[in-house]
This record gives sequence, structure tokens and C-alpha cells, in this order.
Amino acid sequence: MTISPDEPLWQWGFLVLNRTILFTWIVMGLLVLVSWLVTRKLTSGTALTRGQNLLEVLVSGLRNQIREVSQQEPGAYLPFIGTLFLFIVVSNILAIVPGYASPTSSLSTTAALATCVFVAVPIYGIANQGLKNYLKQYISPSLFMLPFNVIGELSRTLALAVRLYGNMMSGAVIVAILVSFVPLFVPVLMQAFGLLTGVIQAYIFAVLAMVYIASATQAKRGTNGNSTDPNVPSESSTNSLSTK
Amino acid sequence: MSIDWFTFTAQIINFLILVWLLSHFLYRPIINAMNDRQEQLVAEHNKAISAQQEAETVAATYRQKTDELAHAKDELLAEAGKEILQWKENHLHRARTEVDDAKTEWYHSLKREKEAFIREVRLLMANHVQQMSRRVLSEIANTEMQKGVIKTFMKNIGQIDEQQKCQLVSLLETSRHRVLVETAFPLDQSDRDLVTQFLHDFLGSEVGIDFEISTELICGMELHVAGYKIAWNINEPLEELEEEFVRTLNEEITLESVTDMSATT
Repeated sequence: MTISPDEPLWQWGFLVLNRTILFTWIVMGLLVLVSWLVTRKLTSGTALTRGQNLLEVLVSGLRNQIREVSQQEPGAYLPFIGTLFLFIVVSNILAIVPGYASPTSSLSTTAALATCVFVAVPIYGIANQGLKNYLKQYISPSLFMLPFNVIGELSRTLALAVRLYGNMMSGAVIVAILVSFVPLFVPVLMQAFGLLTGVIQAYIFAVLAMVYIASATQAKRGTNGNSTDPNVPSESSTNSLSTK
Repeated sequence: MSIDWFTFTAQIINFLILVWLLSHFLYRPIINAMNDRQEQLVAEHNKAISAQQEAETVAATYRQKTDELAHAKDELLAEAGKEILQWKENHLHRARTEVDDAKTEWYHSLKREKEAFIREVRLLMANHVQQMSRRVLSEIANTEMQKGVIKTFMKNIGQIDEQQKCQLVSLLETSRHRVLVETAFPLDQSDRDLVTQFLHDFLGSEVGIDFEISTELICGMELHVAGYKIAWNINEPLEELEEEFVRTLNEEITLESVTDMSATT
């Protein structure tokens, strides 16, 4: 039983092609192909194609979620947060395809995505409130809190990566183990649960990323780097959703 | 559970590429399409609001015109009603006047017919009375009465004045000294002699006397000299009675008409 999809399928020098990268490209190609096929025949009228209708519902839902979480206009955050959600959810849903190995069951992928969030948070924060105000939140309410804030930044990034990886990898492992014990029906049921888990994890990952970015862009409104806006969920409350 | 750093790096690059690709092929076109639709909907909504406002304005205008037309219609109906009432009153007044005139005319005509009928009846009655009187007198008249008539006649002749007498005498020349005596009954010889003697004495000459009978006299006597007549008979008083009777009736009828006319006016 192969647990990690990072084992190389083909290698040339330091270039390695493994299942994680291969299926990532497949997911990317699938997303881009569907988007291109639908958006090449877009109409601004009221007679929509089914594909355009689906994509508009999807994009509108993403925008509304971003708006609700961040209490800001979603325009700047949609490409990043939306891509996170779509990539993760499509990667997880395709797990029902036999032979497919979800890229999100690789810690390298989840770590890469968490790193992207980790980098995006200061970028959006600095872009919104400037470098000085952004850095000031790390010493709020006092300089004594600086190491705790830095540790908090690192730990939540690590939590993001491990949470997604753990959920997806455990799902795949459980199915693999169950196949060896009860080859009929039960693995199917577990895969159905895996679909639900995959969608939920994609939602949690995207929402947490948005919460981190929103807390960074709205830090000037609070005193300790966390948003005081009652409409913005706190990290602790959102984290409670992510426990499986 | 380990991180393959090449895969890690490749996934970061892949993710960033995917962000760009989806931003280019998915988010931007979809958002643009939704924004365009939103703008179109807003434009159509504004257009619909403008059309609605225009329609409301037009509806208000037509409502006002309808009210004005209804008001004008009411005024016209009221005016027409007044004119109809006025026309009705005028024609009723005219009809009443015409009816009154016709009634008055009819009443006058009826009055005239009544008067004419009464007059005719009275005339007939007078004539009938005269005829009855004449017949009664003619039935009771006889020779004995004739003698009284002769006396009366001679008395009347004897009472005429001198001028008439001279005129009568002068007419004798024209009649060649002949006079005509008419009576209703034949005179016997003594009566003829009496009359002859009287006339000779009255006229002062021996004139010739012709005696004739005239039944129309009923009971009377006439003396004719060259167209001049001296008479006494029952017929003349009857005729005078009739004339007097008719004249009195006419005066009475005229007086009644004048009284009725003054009463109706």
C-alpha cells in the first residue's frame, strides 16, 4: 500500500514527476478546460447556458462567502481564495475515480498551499494598511506579545497544512484498509463520506485562509491583531469547525 | 509523513499558475458577464421605471381628461335638461294657449250657433205665433166682425189730418176719381152704401168706388187711391207685433252676448 503519492513516477536529474504533480496538472487542466469551454461563449443576457449558470452560481457563492467573512469587497481576494477552494474541492471530489490519488493527500501539496496562505497574509495586509501598521500588529498590545504572534502565524500555517493533509490522507488510508478487510459496499460508503469530508475541508481551508487575510487587513481596527468585528469569525471559532 | 521539497516548490508554482489561469479564464469573464447583466438589468429597470412614470403621467393625463369629459358631459346633460324643461314649458304653455284659444273659439262658435239656433227658434216661434194668431183670427173672423172693422176703418179715416186728406184728394185726379176698397169678406149692399156715402162725404166728390175681396186681410179693410193706401186690418198689428217681437229678441240676444263676452274675458 502506497501511502504517499510523492514517490517519483519518472525522474530526470532533479526534475521529478510524481502522482501529486501529475494529478495536480490534471486537476488544473480540468478546471481551466471547463472554464475556457464555458467562458468562451458567455452572454450577458438572461438566456444562460447551463455551464455559465453553474459557474456564475459558483463565483457568486465564493464572492458572497468572502464578503461575509471579510466584510470587504471580494474583488482582490477572489482569485486567491476561490482558486484555493476550487483546487482543493476538485482534487478531493476526484478521489472517487479509481486509481486517482488526491494531491491534497500529499503533505507537500498542503504545505505548499499553507505556505501560499502564509505569504498571502502579509501581502494583503501590507497592501491594505501599509508595512508599518501591518508590522505593528505583531507587537500589539505590547512588545512582549511579538514571539507569541510570530508563533501563532507559524502554528496556524502548520495547522492548515496538517489539517487538510491529515483528513485527506486518513480518508484514503481508511478506505485502503477497509478494502483489505471488507472489500464490498463498505469502502463505497466510506468513499461517499470521503466526498463529504473533502468538500468540507476545502470549505474550511478557504474560509480559514480568508479569516487570516481578513484579520491581517483589518488589524488596525482591533488591538491584538484579531478583528473585533462581530461579523468576522475569530480563528478559534473557525478552528473548532475544522476538527474532525 | 514527509515533505518532498521539489513537489512542494512545484505545487506552489502550480498553484500560482492556476490562480492566474482561473483569474483569466474564469473569474474575470464571469464577473464581467455578471456586471454587464447587472448593468443591463439596472438600465432596463431604470427604463421600466421611466416607462412606468411616463405611463403614470399619461394615465393621470387621461384620467384628468376623462374627469373633464365627464364633467363636461354632466354640464351638457344639465344644460340639455334645462333646455328640454324650458322647451317643454314653452310648448306646454303654447299648447295650453292654443287649447284655450281653440276652446274659446269653440265656445264662441258654440255660443254663436246657440244664439243662431235660439234666434231661429224664436223667429220660428214668433212666426208660428203669428201664424197661429192669424189662423185663430181668420177662424173667428166673420161678417159681423166685418161691420166693426168698417166702423173702425171709417173712424180712422176720419181722424187723418188735413194735409193727408188734401194729398189723398189730389191723387183722385190720377186715379180718374176712382178708389179701391178691399175687404176680407164680401160686403153686403148696406155696408157698401155706408162706405160709399162716407167716402163721398170725406172726399167731397162723387168718386167711383170699386169693392174687392182680399183674403190676406183676414179681418180688415183697405183704401187704395193711385198707389196711396189707407188700411186697417188684423194683419198689420200682427206684423207689427212680430217685428216688435223680433226686435226685442235681437236686443235681448245682443245684450246676453255682450254680457257673456265680458264675463269670459
